Amino acid sequence: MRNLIIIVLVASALFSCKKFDKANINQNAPEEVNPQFLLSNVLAEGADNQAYWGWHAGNLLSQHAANLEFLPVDRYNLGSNEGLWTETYRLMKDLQDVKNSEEGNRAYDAVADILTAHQASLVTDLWTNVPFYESLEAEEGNFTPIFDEQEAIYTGEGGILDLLSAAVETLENTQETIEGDLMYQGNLNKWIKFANSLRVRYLVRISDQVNVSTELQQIIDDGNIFQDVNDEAVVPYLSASPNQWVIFTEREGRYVDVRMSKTAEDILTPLNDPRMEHYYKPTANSSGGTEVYLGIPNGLSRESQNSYDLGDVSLMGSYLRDEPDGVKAAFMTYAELQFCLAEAAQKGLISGNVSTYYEAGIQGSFDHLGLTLPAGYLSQPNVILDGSNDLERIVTQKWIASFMNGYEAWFDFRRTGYPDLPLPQDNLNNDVFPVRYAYPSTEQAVNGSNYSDAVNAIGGDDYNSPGWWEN
Amino acid sequence: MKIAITALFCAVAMITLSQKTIEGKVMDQKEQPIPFAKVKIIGKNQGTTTKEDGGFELKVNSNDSLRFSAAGFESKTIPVSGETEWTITLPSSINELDEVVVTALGLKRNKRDLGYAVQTLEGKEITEVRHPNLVNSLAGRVAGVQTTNGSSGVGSSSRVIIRGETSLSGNNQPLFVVDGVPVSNEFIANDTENLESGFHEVDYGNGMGDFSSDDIQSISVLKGPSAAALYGSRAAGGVIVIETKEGQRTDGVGISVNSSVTMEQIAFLPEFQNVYGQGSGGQFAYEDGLGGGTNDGGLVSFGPQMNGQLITQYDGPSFDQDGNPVRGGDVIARQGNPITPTPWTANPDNVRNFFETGVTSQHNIAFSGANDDGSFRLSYTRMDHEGTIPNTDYRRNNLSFTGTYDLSERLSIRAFGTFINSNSDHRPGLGYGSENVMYSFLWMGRQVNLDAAENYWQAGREGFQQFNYNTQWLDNPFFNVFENRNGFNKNRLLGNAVLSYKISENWKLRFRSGVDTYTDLRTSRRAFSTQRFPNGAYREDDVAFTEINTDLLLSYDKKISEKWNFNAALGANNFTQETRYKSLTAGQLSVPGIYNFENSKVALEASQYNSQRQINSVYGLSGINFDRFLFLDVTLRNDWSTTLPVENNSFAYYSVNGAIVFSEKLNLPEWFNYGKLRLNSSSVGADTDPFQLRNTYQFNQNYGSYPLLTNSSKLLNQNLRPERINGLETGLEMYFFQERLGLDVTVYQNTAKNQIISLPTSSASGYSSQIVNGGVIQSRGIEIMLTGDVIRGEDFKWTAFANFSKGASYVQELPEGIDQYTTGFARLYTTAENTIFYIANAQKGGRVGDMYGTGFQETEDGRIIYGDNGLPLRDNELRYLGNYNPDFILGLGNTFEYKGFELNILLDWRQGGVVVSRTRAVGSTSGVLSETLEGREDGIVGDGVVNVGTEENPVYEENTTSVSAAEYYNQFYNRANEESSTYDASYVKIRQIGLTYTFPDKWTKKMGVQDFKIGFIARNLFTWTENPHFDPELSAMQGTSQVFGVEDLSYPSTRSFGMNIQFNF
Repeated sequence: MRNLIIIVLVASALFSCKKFDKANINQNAPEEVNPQFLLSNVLAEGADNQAYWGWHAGNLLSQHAANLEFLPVDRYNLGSNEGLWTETYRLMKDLQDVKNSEEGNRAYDAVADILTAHQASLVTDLWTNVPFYESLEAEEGNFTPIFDEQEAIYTGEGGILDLLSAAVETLENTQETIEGDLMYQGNLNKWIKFANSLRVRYLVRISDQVNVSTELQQIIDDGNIFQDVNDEAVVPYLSASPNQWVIFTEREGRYVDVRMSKTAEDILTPLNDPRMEHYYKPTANSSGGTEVYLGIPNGLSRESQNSYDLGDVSLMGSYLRDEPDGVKAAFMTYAELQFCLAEAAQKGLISGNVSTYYEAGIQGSFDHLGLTLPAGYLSQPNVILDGSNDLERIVTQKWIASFMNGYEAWFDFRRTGYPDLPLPQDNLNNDVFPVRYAYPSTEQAVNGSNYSDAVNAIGGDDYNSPGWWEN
Repeated sequence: MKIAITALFCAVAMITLSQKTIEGKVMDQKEQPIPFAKVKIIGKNQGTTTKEDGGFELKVNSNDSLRFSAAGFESKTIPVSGETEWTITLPSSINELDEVVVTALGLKRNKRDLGYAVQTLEGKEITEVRHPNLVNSLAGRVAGVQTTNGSSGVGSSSRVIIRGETSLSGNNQPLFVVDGVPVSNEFIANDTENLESGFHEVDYGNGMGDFSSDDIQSISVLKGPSAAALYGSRAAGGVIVIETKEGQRTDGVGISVNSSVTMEQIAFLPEFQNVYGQGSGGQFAYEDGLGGGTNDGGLVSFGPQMNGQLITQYDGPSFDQDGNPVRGGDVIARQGNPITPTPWTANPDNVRNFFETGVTSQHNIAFSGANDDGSFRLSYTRMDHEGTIPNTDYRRNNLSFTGTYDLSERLSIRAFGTFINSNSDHRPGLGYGSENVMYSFLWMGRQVNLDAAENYWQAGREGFQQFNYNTQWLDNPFFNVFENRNGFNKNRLLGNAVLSYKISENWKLRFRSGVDTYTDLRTSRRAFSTQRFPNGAYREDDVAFTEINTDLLLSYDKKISEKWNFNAALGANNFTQETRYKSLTAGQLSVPGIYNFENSKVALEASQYNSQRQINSVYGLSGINFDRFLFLDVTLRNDWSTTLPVENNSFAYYSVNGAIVFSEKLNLPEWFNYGKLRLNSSSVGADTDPFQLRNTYQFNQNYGSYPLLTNSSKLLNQNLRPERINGLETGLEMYFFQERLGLDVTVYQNTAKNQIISLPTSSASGYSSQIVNGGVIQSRGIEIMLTGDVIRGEDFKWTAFANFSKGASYVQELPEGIDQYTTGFARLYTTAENTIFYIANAQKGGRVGDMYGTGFQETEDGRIIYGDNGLPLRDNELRYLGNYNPDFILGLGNTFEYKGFELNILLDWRQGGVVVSRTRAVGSTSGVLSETLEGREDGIVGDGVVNVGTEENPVYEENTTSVSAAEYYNQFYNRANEESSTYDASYVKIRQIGLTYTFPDKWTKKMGVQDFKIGFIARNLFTWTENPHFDPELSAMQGTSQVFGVEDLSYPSTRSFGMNIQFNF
């Protein structure tokens, strides 16, 4: 018995409980944060996604550029791009936390809603039906969100357009301020302009399905949209690591593998467009002499490329390789807005002069790039709107301006068929232009029944099941 | 007085005269010496003890009688008179199966008493053919144990899994216990991601790989949860109990030496084709490696046939501005000057010749001694290794000390300490990408003569620009290994001390404390022009780890009556573990070749993670034993862990095990010597890793001066409960024919409930994974061990053993809200679409380890569907690829002894399981592997059908469209298509052949040397397996963890030949 007492005494001496209770508190990272840090993150990461995927996929699908060696996207073996899917939902989770933060600050709420609308449009435009209304409910125990119809995501209550108009209203009526706004430095009026400009983008996008005329006209009448390039939603890369443009430090192959496309050559050359010399480099064989800019057709197999001398194919512009901070990652540009308005006016959805919007768009694109619009450019016969193929010219100029801006030019092509892109000769998609990514296989593995429902709803998990707005 | 003196003198003289000194040896029935046997002169308080070799010397009178006795043996009394030959054989008093084994908490138990399966390896078995990594000593020798090796050779991690995977979440590694105190076998990986940029994964080796085999007395493997019930949660994967050597009384000076040198050669290389060189469509010409020539920026090998025709190449002669000769690839110095075309021929051995002969030397010297009160042992081991991959190495120094001392009749102390320094200048990069030289080789044209690449700087650009056959994507392999080094330096102190106090005849108190602490500094250097780091880089990863275990045990042992024995013990344990990890990266450097953070051109990137964990425990055990026939043990333990929520942090364990030695009571035939039935039941709990309860945000790299934080991708769980594993095990142990044939059969069933697992989830839910208490998983299996003394001749002996194990785990219940149990995934490429999912799908059997991936579109009768373009069509639907676990494992060992010669042969057969190979996917896409030769000239008409109907109403016709080989293989072996890169992982290996000769002592004694042994070892001699490209036994590492069922550009495994010399002074 005495021994037992000794044991108990020694044992209790061994186990001092002081540290025990605190051992499992994770002091490496915070459990709660001020929403400003999450907002900064969404702006930095979200903008980076636009430029990164603009380079790696958007430019190829829109045929601004063609690939030589790593060909899956260019030959339409698109895959699922699960990385972007996962990251987009994480950013939306960050935005949800901005809204749920204890601050109860309505300005943060509205800004978060604007960015949520943007991220949501990105996922639905890339994958068609996607989880939205039931998404981000893991903390409430829902790990298998259903996939919503694209129409509902755009037009439903709490959907993309609803979020944007509500955000505008909130911002117009709040005195609260936000921090961590690395894009607009807390200028809420610019956020209102951004929100309204996004509304224009999405209303035009769905305009084949829904009569958007009244709402569009209202936005124009209110006038609180991007006024010039200073209002643009862009986040520039910086000269210092870790905010440098990714291709600046990537291996050589990542740069030289991407070339000017034949499509770009065919569109830009007849326009005498100085943006060509910005977007691309003169061919190696012409350097030192009369510089020429030549492209290579998209989606050629390596064997088919043998009939091209790569010395006669332009590389991408110097600012995309040699400068860490040459790229401005864009959520939306002023030029794009003006082209949206030009299209809307051309289709009679809004009043206003089509050419005014159109020319403002072209001017905006040059301003965005820091280039001077050459005198006479706008009056060239193949630029000027002469009533014959105005829509094609508008969307083609928009295409030129959308270089590197995420997937925007691809979305426009899917919707309008402009510019008239050639089908890549060696495509692996049965001679059909793809219109979406496949769903991430993780959804099949972990959200199986909702995945199956979605696949049935859209008509198959391949690259050819069109979304609602492009039907 | 004088008379008296004379009388005394005479008496002494008389005694002296009738005295003589006898020399002899005490042996057992197997002619093995019995050390420390007592030799006593009856009726006198005189005697001696035998030495380690069983020998003794004693002065006796001719009329004395000697009594020889030793624990475990029957005594013999022999009169001195008449005996001339003093080789005494003592018969075993008890069955010789009464082997003493070390079990839980370091308790020494008679194997006969145990109600569960234990298998023991003696130090001799480990040191005679010692493997650089201790863990590998278990391969093939212990039933139910499966080892896999890291692919980067000596110094990389070897994993061991006992009885398959019981846990879906943890690493399933057993707990390693040294002298009763747990030690770390963990490998804390650098914080790297499986990405296209940044640093690759590097394997710095598992914790037990630090240990020196020469310090080990024995290794016991406790397999089931029952055996482990006393060790607590960390023992859920079994326990490997290591006893260190103690000093012993010896005849000689007490110095032993063990020295070995082995040479390693690569045993496996991908099977390359040697007909077509680099290029596309049969065309190639080198200009600048960036596409300036013809296809010279490309990676694939569908170029011209290699017939000796003249083509410009990277090593072709050219000249610089001043007319000095340079190589074609010296693009900067060449300034566009022409390259003289050189013969386009195959270099079949270009990859093989890159590798070198590896050398591993291990030397151990140990000093030991003992007297009646205590003992000491001081041991030093030095290992030097140079790898088969050039410039890779691994070095280790172990200095160990063991001391025992009886401070008094009642109080004794034992202490063991070892200081280990291991270090390397370069450990090779693993995983997919340009830092793995295998990547460079699988994308390298078969015409490439690597000799020119050995001088890996471009002329005039030393330090700034590498020279290579492909400037666009790949690093020069020599540049890679000589400039871009991953070094480390680890200092580890591991020790324990035990204080035992004998309170009374029956009561004992033991206090024990052990510490295992190390710091590991890893440095990664990247030179200018590295593909992933154009401006070079420098990184340091700093790991500091400390684990302390302290326990107190009070035990009681009493012989109640002639037949009844009773024992009980009560104890308490405290376990604390602390890990500190820190990493700093300079992603660009200012000056080449200076690896110092002050040389950073950019802001440093930091990453830091500290964690700690603590478990307090109390436990008790009790056993009774009746007449050496019936044994019953009961154990109880309760743990309190810091890693679980306060309300759920206490969990109990129990085990009951019994054994009936039925041969004691049954009237068995004479050839049936021994039979024991074992039965046990146990229930053990388990906690989890630190910080699994509450979510925190993650730091992202700042944007300018804006700090960024984001959500983590894993949803943690504040309501975690402890895991529980219920085990049932029964076994039968039998010996026949004078114990020449032994059979041990064990069947077991483990049911794991509430497993704490990180489940992948739809990232649209806001998190990509969640921590949950999982469903119910049941593992069942059988282990059969057969041992035999096939021939037991006077001179010639042949003993053999076979270990067979077979087991599988099935999901019985899914976690709540989950419709299929996707337990994890492995990426086959950096992008997510090339992913293998581990899905235990209840509708399809639900076996743990089932792998799913994408593949071809197929008709109902299994034919591949082709598109109109003649290429096979893939779809995105996940389908079953196979299970990565083997169906069974069989280890076969044979030992032949003839006079002093001993020949050991160890074979290993693993049947079943599949592995998805990235080597195959990459090498077939690139066209360097032999399977891509078919159809190069005439194209390929793929075997399958084309749908000429509609999607709804398909009509299939035979595919007749011919496509080029490049197009066909590019699509067929598409990396997103896991189906076409799946191999059967079965293999048969000659794991080890060892020949040892022990010189008779009479020959060597003149040199003052005893037990002189010389041995020749061959390891991993042959492997028979389906795939021609890689060793299926190697494991892959992705991100910070090892993954299953995936081969990820593994390095060639090695076969080694060596020599071993062992002797004592």
